[in-house]
Amino acid sequence: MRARDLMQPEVFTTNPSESLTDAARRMRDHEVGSLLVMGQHKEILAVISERDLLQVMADGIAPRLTPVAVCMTRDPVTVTPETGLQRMAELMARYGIRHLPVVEQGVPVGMVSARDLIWVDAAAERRTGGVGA
Amino acid sequence: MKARVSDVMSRPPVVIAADATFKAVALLLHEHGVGAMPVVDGAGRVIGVLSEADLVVKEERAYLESRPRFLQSHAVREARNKSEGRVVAQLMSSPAVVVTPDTSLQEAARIMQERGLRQLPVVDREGRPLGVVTRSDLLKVFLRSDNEIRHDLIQGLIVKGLGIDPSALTVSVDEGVATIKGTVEFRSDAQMLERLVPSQAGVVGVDIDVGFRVDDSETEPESSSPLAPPLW
Repeated sequence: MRARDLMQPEVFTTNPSESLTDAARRMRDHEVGSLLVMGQHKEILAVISERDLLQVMADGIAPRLTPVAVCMTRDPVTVTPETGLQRMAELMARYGIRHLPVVEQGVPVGMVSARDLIWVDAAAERRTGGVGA
Repeated sequence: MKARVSDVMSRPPVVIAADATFKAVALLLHEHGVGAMPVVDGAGRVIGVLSEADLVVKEERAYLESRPRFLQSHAVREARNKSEGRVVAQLMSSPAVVVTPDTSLQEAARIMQERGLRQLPVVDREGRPLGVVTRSDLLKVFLRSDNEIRHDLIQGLIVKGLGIDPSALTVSVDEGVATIKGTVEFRSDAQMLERLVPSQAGVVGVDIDVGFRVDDSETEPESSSPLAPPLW
């Protein structure tokens, strides 16, 4: 299983100056847990996730007045369409992240989330009939 | 009034018994499209939470075990022990970090961030599950429209909270900034508005110009004021 097979092929983006309220609304509308933050030249600058938004909330910062730039995670770890399942799981575990942008020649082509990986595993579990083996 | 966990949680919660199998829980999580479930004991009390993260440990273990033996460590043994658990009780994170329905949203957000959790069971005084509040549920307050905020100000705060006749006031909300004008009966009501409106969920700024007919303040009004309200 490679990123190509597991990724959600749609990419949802924002930019550093958009308000957190608008970013949160876009996540809800598309039912995703993170957005890619794109720069002026269509380059990937960062990722902003629900977790980043929640930190803003925990800090009591007003989201409408706060731009994405304040809480985004810069220089995100990315994978290519050919990256394997195990490598992706390893990256998520090592960096404590749940989303990996899939990038092909500098262009984002999809997103793999921890949830995508887990259900592969659960499906394999059911097929083999094994339990925690 | 100020938004609480009970305002945004999903209920009733999907729960799972401590002696359910790995397979059963994987299916349940999948079917209900949730990231985690409270685990309950025989008396129906929440004793832990089983999340996707507890299942993904299997993936991590595969990676760890692929490395040379000398690099394997405590982490690999931990991961192995965790994923070999045959029933929920051995896989879950326990004890459960829980909140009550009256926990504020900001406090719930803080607990999730500190513990690195994506959801919290909401329990009653006996520890029985009432619902689950997720990160997405909390973030709903980020998404409030001006109309929703205005409705909450009028129905929740002005009518229900303070018992003020709303026809005496003009309330508008623009980009989260609440403007309230008019004249109320008592000075104490005008003061309560000024004090409480800024803390309503979604309100980012206020412009309050409310007069009164009767000065009912006998003592220094600030003496009974609550602490400066947070934004949430």
